Amino acid sequence: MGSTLIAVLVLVGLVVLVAIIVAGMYNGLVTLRNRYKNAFAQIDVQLKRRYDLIPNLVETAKGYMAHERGTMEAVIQARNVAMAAGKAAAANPGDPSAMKALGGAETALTGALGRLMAVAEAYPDLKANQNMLAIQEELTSTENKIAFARQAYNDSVTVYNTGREKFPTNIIAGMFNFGPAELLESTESAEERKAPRVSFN
Amino acid sequence: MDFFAQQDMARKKSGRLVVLFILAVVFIILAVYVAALALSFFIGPPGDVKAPEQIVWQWWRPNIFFTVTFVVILAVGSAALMKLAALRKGGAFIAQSLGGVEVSSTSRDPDERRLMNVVEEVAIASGVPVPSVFILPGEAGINAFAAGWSPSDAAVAVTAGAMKQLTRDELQGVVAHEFGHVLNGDMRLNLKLVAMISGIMVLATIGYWALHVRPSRNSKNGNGYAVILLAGLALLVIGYGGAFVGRIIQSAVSRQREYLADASAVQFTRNPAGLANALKRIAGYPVGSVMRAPAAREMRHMFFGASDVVSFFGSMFATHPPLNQRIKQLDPSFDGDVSRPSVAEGDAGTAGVAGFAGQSGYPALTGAQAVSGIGALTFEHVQAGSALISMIPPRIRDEIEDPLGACAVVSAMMLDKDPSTRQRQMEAISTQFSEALARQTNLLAADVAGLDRQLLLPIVDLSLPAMRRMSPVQYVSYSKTVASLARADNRVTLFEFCLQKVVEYRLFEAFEKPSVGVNALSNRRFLSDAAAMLSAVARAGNETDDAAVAAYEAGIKVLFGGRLPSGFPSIGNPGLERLDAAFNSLSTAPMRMRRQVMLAVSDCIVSDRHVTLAEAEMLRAIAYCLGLPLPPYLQAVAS
Repeated sequence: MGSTLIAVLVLVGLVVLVAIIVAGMYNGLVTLRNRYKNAFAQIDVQLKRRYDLIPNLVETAKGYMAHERGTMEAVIQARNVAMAAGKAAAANPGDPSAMKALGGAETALTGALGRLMAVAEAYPDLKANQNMLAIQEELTSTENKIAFARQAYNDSVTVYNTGREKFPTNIIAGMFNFGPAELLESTESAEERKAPRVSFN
Repeated sequence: MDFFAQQDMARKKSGRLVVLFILAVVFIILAVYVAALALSFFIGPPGDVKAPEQIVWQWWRPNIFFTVTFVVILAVGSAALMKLAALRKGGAFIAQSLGGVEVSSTSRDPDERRLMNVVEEVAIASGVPVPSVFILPGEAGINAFAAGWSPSDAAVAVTAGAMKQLTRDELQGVVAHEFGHVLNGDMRLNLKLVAMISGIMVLATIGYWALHVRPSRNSKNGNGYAVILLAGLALLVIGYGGAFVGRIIQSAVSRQREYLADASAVQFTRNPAGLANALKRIAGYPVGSVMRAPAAREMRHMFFGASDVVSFFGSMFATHPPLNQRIKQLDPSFDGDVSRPSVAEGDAGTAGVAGFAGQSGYPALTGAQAVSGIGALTFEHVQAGSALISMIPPRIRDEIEDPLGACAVVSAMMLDKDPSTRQRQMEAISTQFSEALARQTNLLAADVAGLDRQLLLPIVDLSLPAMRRMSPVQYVSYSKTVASLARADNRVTLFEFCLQKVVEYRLFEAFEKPSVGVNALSNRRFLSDAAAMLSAVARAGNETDDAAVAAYEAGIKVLFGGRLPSGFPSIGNPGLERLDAAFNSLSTAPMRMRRQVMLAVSDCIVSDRHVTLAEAEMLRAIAYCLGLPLPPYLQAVAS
């Protein structure tokens, strides 16, 4: 009599405890997943801004360096590819292949932009153009922001991936299909790679 | 009732809540115990069948009692604690769990823009950090809530229904009501209540599961199944009984706070019509303020309007006062006709509002007046908030909407004028944080240096939503960077020091969610910290030693109730470390002590019967450091 009841009660208690812990782990994973998805939204805002700036840049440059059509077209081409990749990644930041594609497209875009800037060195008039200077500064600022947001994104992806691989959360992750997330690599700006000496004045 | 009394009241309520919770748990234990007794009586001993008279009812069966107590406390306690841990992730987390989508501050959507403007105005006006703003797209009802562990990690969420149905004035009324909750200290109280309700509800949830257990076909233990089924039924009944008790508590705590928040909203906007009309919209709208998200149930008390369909139990269990009564409170001419909007009356509802309003000219301010402005937002302040926001140059406005931009603007505020110090500060940024932040800071330095001083605190407030989006790793290195920026030169001004402390505290609160609310200080410790702070304030505001001593003594007098006792601590010259320690301990001191310090500091500042803009901003910065929302100085904004 009493002993059956006590056994049932203890069983109920254990089941409850396990259920609460499982629910806690599940919610924890959801939180981490939301966090990295939100972090991607932050990059996306700035990426879009960069895509918007590039046609302006090319338009301004056109007037000065008509002979460099190929370089400019390459930039526009790379920008369009990156924009499509960005759209795909934004639609599902949890898709590792989309994220990888975005990383690649962004690297290509940065390379093309770098070549354009290198060529532009030969056109002093263009370099002195106010409009060009303004766009360049905004581009730099946007690239800084992308780098920062990317760092935040990669941080939260790392936390999420660690969370889903650790025992015992990995069991829950497997049960409820929490797939691995991909880091966004190498969208660093040309400037970052050159690591220029900044003069602070 | 002033801000300090409100805060104390909220704290006391939190204490009472714990008592109620314990009572509810005791009630549940007793109920489960009786159910367990009945169950064992009904089943009887297994095996041989006994005659009914052989089964005796025993009230006291210790082994059952202790098992029940253990299991109930384990279940309710762990569920409540898990919930509390989840809620401590902050306002943004809570808003997301209800399906909220964060509104970008760069949004071009006119409805979202309008909402952001309304929220920013009220936040800047009251001197609290701008909350993260969310829209609940799946909710057609007109509703809203504010949630958070502290104002630094607060989120304000508004339903899609409210966005669509309300005019700007009505939306402002709703948002002001939510800020009323923030300033009245209701948010943490509300979260504790949610955790408590979900702990109590856990038994109902278990009972529900137990009822759905199917016996396996080949199981021969029909008796065990019956026990589970009956136990489940009992738990379900008890769980709902517990939830019932929870609802009573929820309602009792909530209703008065709603009236209070309504009153605060009117004080902030001086427009009872806006709020009254928002309530009328709810009354005249088929969906009303109903929330569909299942998670909304345990948060019923946090919403602007009642979130569930008309309560089965009637008004006693309603979390919100009836709409008609709330409207009547705001618009006495209301006759029950919700289709006719109330008309805005310019000056209604602000009589007797304390604060800077109504003071003519700078010198009229006294310490007591300055302190009474804390947390006491008025219509003028909301206007001033909107004026201040519009004074911020578009470039800065644009930058602080991005995490890197916000960090750069704030670091640029701390740059020294001296080129060599500045060089060192820049190097500190690039080594401790990143080259990118250094470059961005450099890009913005000139713009930030040209800013009007009274814009600095509002800009810090406006930067917080973006800064909250940093990763925890970035937060750690950024707060280190901020600390070393202030220490790069030893001639840091008190205002710069305060600015750095404000950023430090707000980020700390937003990212680490400290649980310590109040740290009692010994009288000696309090006096020595207050004296250190007063010394710094007196020296910062006065050129000559004599004037500094006079100002210092004016402050000390306040601490001792208007007289200078013999052997009071004489004016010191506290270094950064000492000041840092003093600010840290005073910022978590009981409200009563913080109030006294603020009174002393204001008297110290105004002792020369003259308040400059710099002094007014200094007072504000100190109030911010102590976690007290002091609205902007109105005369300064007007001029």
